Amino acid sequence: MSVLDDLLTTPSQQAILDGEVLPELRANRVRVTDWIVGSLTRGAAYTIAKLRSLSRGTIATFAASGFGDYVFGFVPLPSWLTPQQQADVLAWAPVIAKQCFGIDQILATYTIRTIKLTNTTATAYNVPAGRIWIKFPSGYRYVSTGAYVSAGNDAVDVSFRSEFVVDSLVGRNYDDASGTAGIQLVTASYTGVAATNPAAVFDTVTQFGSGLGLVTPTGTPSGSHTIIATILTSGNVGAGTWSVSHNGGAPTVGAIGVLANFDGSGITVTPTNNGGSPAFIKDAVYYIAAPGSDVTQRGRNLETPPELGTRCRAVFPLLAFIRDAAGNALPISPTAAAYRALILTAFPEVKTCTVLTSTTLNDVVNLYIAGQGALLTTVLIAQVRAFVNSLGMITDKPVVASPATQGITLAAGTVTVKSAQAASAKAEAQRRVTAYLGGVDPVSPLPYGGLVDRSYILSLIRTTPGVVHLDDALTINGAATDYQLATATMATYAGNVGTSQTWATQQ
Amino acid sequence: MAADYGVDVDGVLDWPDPEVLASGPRNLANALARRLLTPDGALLDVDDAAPYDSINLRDWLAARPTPAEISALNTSMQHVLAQDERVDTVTASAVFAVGVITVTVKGTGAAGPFEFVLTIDAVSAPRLEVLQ
Repeated sequence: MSVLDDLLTTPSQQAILDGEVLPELRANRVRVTDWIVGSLTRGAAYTIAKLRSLSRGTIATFAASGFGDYVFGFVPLPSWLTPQQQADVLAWAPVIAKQCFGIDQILATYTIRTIKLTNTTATAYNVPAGRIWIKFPSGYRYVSTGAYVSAGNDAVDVSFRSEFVVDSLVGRNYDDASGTAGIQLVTASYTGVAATNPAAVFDTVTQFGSGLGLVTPTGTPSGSHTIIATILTSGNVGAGTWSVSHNGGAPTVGAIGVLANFDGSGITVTPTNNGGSPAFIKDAVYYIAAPGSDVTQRGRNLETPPELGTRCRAVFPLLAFIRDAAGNALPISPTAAAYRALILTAFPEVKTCTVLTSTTLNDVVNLYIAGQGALLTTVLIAQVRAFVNSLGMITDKPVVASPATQGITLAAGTVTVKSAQAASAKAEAQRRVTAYLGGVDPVSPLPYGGLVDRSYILSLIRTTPGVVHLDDALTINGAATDYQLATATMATYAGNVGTSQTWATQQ
Repeated sequence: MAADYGVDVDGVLDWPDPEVLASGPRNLANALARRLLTPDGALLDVDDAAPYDSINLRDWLAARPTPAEISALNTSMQHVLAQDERVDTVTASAVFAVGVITVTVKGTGAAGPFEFVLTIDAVSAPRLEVLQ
């Protein structure tokens, strides 16, 4: 047996009793004959054997944590390690990441929203931060992080954060939609004050780069849309040229001008000079997104060991060491893994990043980023764009954007559950399906453009505690088959398996 | 082979230093006293899953039991002590006085009669006096 095998082997208490403790007693000619349960010597033998087994487990845990594949969860740990010991190995991941790679684990964060408090009375209020709690119909609670100052008969925006950090493993997603009705004030009532979380039709138009020109979206689009306008040549409206794309599709290139119902999005894009001349400067980028959101920070889970390990291992191959025809090394040009590592490290709110090289444009690298189960604001996308551009790569032209989205609808199917566990089973099944379709399933995270695995969804529901049977009628977007997401498309799920499936109870 | 009560280290709860062995009624008394001073299920902490009934009389140190409760305790002790396979018959009686519990145990086993007195208080280690 190799030294590593020996270190990773954890003998059982019984094996130690039979192979070490009792033979040692025999070798020392111990004259004890009372081995009835409760005897002192028997108790001592069991205790010593257990301590030795625990210490061997600790040694195995420590030894395994020194290997990246084990500590970051890339390969299964030896099966003889107990679940607690395996969890202990993974618990070393943040320490190894920091000590060996200089990288900190990304911690879980709160979701922060802007809540509108409307006061329909003449009563003035001056409430310090942290004094107002609200509760959404989902059950999620938020606490005010800003003061609420009302002069009466007004509507004031106040920042609120989620009660806990996001943790999809326990169902804390804080994914309440903008415009949710029925928000309650949990704390001492403020007479005449109601809480709402409206969102604008469009997110704030964010500009990356210089220029006084403005780009204004109008219209009533349905669904999610991202429009990116990149200035190709400087100039005013009608003179300069730009490239405009919708949801990552092929760009429209032409003179800067009004684009009505651009690409069938229902959005009219109107550029104005705003007093500049030239108003639009080459390489400036304008981000338009719909719908807007009351969320100002999208919370996320604690980074898992595999996610952390992926970032760590991307550090070394960060430089692709591209050389020109003369053999001269070119400045930094990250690999795909490096792009992900750079963005995820610099912007913790970014939960997923897919890197796709353009199939139509030379040197273009599309970086699709999103938060946990939701799109990011245009402000953040522009910040990421600025960060990536600051790396000054010569060989790449990175383009940062939100992915397209595809709603997933689950229907049909009958779930049989024990009547006493019906409520908890529905809640747990919903948590599991939401995590899977939100891309944060701990076993099988769904990537952009991935395959929505029908059999996996069935297994998630069937293995929910309390569920005793599940038929094979489940449909995904109307069909009883797997569902293939389009390239660079993120799944979104707003349903509830507790109501979309039929739940039959049995005693 | 004549029946005997076995040989074990001579101690109730502590390991003696120097190590001395006990046999006969003394060893049995040690084992039975241990059954009256061990919380039920405690052996599972060292993964010894063999059936072992026990009670911990130290939980009663702050009690002021009624006669009925003392009678029930005596019955519980006798039930627990009878689980030791070396015991054929056994009686146990407890007396509560000024923070001290004194338990007198008498019985017979395969190797003959046994009798001991176990004294427990909140300050000292349990004291075992083997009478027979």
